[in-house]
Amino acid sequence: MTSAVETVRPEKPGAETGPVSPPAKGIPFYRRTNHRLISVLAVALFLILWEVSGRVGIVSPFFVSSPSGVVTAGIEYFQSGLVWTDMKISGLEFVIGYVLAVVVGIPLGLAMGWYKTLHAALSPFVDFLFSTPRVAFLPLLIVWMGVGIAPKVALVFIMAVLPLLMSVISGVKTVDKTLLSVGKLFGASQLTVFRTIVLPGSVPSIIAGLRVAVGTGLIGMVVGELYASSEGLGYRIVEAGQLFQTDRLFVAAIIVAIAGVLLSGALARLEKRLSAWRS
Amino acid sequence: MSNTLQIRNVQVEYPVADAKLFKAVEDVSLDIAEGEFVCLVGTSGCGKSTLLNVLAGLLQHTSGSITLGGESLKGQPSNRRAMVFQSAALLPWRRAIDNVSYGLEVQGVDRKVARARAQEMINLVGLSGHEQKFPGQLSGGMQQRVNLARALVTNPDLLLLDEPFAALDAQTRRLMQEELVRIWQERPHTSVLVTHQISEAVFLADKVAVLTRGPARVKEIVEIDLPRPRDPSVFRDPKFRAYEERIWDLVVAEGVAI
Ligand SMILES: Nc1ncnc2c1ncn2[C@@H]1O[C@H](COP(=O)(O)OP(=O)(O)OP(=O)(O)O)[C@@H](O)[C@H]1O
Ligand SMILES: [Mg+2]
Repeated sequence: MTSAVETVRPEKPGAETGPVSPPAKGIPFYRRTNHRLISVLAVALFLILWEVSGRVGIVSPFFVSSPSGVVTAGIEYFQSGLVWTDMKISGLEFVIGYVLAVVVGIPLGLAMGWYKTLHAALSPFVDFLFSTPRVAFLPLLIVWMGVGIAPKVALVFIMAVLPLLMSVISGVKTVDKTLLSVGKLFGASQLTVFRTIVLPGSVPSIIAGLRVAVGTGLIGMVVGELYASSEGLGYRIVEAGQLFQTDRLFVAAIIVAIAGVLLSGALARLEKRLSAWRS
Repeated sequence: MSNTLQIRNVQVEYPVADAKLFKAVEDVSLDIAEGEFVCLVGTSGCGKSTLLNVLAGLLQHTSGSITLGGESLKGQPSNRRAMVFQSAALLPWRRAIDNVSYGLEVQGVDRKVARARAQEMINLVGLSGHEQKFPGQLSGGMQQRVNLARALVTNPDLLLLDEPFAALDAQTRRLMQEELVRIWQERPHTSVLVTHQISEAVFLADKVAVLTRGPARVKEIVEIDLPRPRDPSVFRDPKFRAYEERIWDLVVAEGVAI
């Protein structure tokens, strides 16, 4: 066989996309340098400015705390053991709420994307909830469910499920129509078309939705503890705020942020794994 | 067994705004014998793709009849037909070989058997060694080969091709035409191919149906009496040039540039 058309040289699967450093001559330093290093330097610079600005009195550490203050407060928080109970209760609220959101959001989103009638029936509600500031439902949830863990779980759920739903629906709807007719052409049943084309085609949107839902779910978790709570990371943030303990406030907020980054990173790795074909 | 494709007075209308109908195909009648290769040419927008989609079962004709070996082809697509799309339309998350075996899987063929037949097709279209690549890792020409293999693997009674090489560069296109002739001569499927390139039509076809400007009717059927098996040397045959000229004149007489 002639192979005049075989010009594409595929990348090795898993081969990293990291920048390959070219020879340095004539290239400005900001192009030459590793991007990860730049990120690290930027953060370091920020921390130094933060610390220094407090020490020389540009701003009062009373309001903005300082890196060293945050570290000290963090050590105390861990030593007191309070951090574990807070993380346990907040973690439980988040995990239950998020898992419920996944269990409901993905199947419902797939169904709404696929069945036009179902979409027509439910989209007014979904659109309404999506555009509402959903944290405002908290007082209502407390009225309904009391002051225990239930309203917090519910808030995590409604915060997480809507962006996930939206993303899954649009994933199904934007599957290439030509691909659908390929399935149809081979005589595939609706179910087979769904299983072999729509579902794999929606994977990137599903994962994107899961990542957004991590962020919004964590917001739900923190806000859920702002009222009628006595423990949890969100409660710790309010408590510290009311006592003007900005150091402790930052510690709790940073723990939440780290959780978000880790979860989102894990999902990014999952996505990479599931979409090896997107090279 | 005669598997003649009979197209009789087929008319196709699209529903458009205000509950009106737009007539895309007026009245097409065409007989295609088993194992015959027919090319459709005509001005842009005259209804070629529409006709092909009807033959594929993706679209319903509003009147007339289409039969394959006496059996009506109206209704759902079936595994008797296969289509090669202009855009390769490969499933990007499936490797080349799994794209080829897709039709067989859908039709419930045993996985192992499907794989073996897909591998055979991959070899036939000259892609051995590339079967594990994803579509994104294949060149346009290679993708189009996979597309062709995917259609051929189900061994359809009717093979439909809608401008299969239009997206390729001139050089690759020429190679693919030669490849298609070779493959088709090895396994002559009843085929209908739409093209805008008249030399492509003459090179591939047993007969070329020239359509009128839309809504389409068959203006003339030109029998291509060139020897088979064909190879690229026919491009230099004076008869080849004559066919090209004749078809060109017929198409141009319809007014709009193709
Ligand atoms: N879904 C549709 N709804 C309404 N009209 C359509 C639709 N698809 C095609 N048409 C019209 O039908 C006519 C024929 O279209 P068709 O795509 O079959 O042309 P074609 O011969 O394949 O053209 P080309 O050579 O440019 O591909 C055109 O006038 C087009 O506007
Ligand atoms: Mg067309």
